[in-house]
Amino acid sequence: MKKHPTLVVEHCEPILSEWLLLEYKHAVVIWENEVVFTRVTKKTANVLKNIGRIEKEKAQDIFSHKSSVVLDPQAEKPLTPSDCKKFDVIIVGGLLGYEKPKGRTKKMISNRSDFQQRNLGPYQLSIDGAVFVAKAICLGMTLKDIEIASEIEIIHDKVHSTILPFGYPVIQNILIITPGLVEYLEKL
Amino acid sequence: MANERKFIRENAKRSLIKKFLVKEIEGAGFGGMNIQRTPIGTRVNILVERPGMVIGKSGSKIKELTENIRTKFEVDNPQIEIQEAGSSASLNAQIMAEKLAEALERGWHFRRAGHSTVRRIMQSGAKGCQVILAGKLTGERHRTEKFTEGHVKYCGETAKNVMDVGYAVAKLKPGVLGVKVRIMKPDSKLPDEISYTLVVKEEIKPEVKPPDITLEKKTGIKHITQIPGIGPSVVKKLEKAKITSLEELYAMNLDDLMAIEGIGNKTAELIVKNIRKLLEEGTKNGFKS
Repeated sequence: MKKHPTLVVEHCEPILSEWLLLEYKHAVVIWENEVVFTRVTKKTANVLKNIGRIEKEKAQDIFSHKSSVVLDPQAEKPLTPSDCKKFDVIIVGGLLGYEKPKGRTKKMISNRSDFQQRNLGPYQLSIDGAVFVAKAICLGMTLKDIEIASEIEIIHDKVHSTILPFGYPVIQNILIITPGLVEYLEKL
Repeated sequence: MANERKFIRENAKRSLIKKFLVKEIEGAGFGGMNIQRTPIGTRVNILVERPGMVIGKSGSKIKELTENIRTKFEVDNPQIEIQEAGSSASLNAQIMAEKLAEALERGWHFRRAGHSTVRRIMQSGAKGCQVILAGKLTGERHRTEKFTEGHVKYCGETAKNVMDVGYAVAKLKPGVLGVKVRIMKPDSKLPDEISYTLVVKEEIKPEVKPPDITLEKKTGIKHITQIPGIGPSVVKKLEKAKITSLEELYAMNLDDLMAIEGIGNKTAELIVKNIRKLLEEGTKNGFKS
């Protein structure tokens, strides 16, 4: 039986914030197999080398365009279980940032390479959320089977709450949220 | 059709004037405006927190604004009137939104600014308020922070009637932040609020029927001094309360007697007891009450 494809996380941000690091760590835990961080700068290399393999180059310079697929929200086709068998590498990156998606994955990865592109539905997902959905699809589920919460509200106290306008997967009524994110938002 | 076009044109002009004023008097605490047509021209009422900043030195700023409104928006003889928001500033959503945006621009932490705004509004007596800050507050990702206290209505006719909404933009280094303030004012009445006045019915005292036969005949007493237990001092107190006849005394119960100044519980009981005794004796002697 063929193993799961390798997960490649293209680091598209100029810095590595705590929020992003929490997502990367969660993504590594979810994927279970090999995870490669590409486009890693010197500053971030020290941190990321502890959680996965790191590469200074961009994904397009390392991996074969034929056997790799980019998870791009603007792609026409959705990711299917057969894609997991077909491709050796799944690339994810540049997903979040603004309330309305600005097509960062397309600008920073898809337009600069000949990789095949697949979407994960209409929602703007976090890195770990996208990895969770990709993993579920690779295990045989389809996009329709996976429920996504379009936005979440984290209630800190009686007065204050935070709304994250991003998609988070829900499995059996359990929200899949980055561990440590709530505590991080409370101390911000 | 021409009328509809006119209304649309007028409202569009109103909206543009408001936008222009918000930009021009930035920092003065714009709290809203109202345009009224008068026979001699157009009156523009502006509600601000700091009127001095709108008037300017020797009225220079207000003259400039008047001229701009006349030329840019083709308003007939505009007359700007400035109203100071004063103590009601804390209950004006637009003013509070602008103040909050200014605080964020000055470097206040969003949480501190949000909590203090909510506290200030609620301390002014608002029934409820909500502060929403949206954008890249800290860090590189968008998020929305919400501070809510008390009653807030979000939609429908009720929200239109009772909620005051203000918007402002804070310009920060990572990008712009949207600031929205919703206030439910203290005097706003919700549709499910029913007020009622409790009417207490006064206890109706049973009418005391005068006896068929006069008490004088019944008891054989001509004056109240003849009743045992009523001495000269009690008579004086009764006379002071304008009670002089046996009929008047008979009509009074224990509480009424105790209400007279100087007559205590024991004296009142004694008077009532003796009158009853006299009546009973009179009945035995052949009179019917």
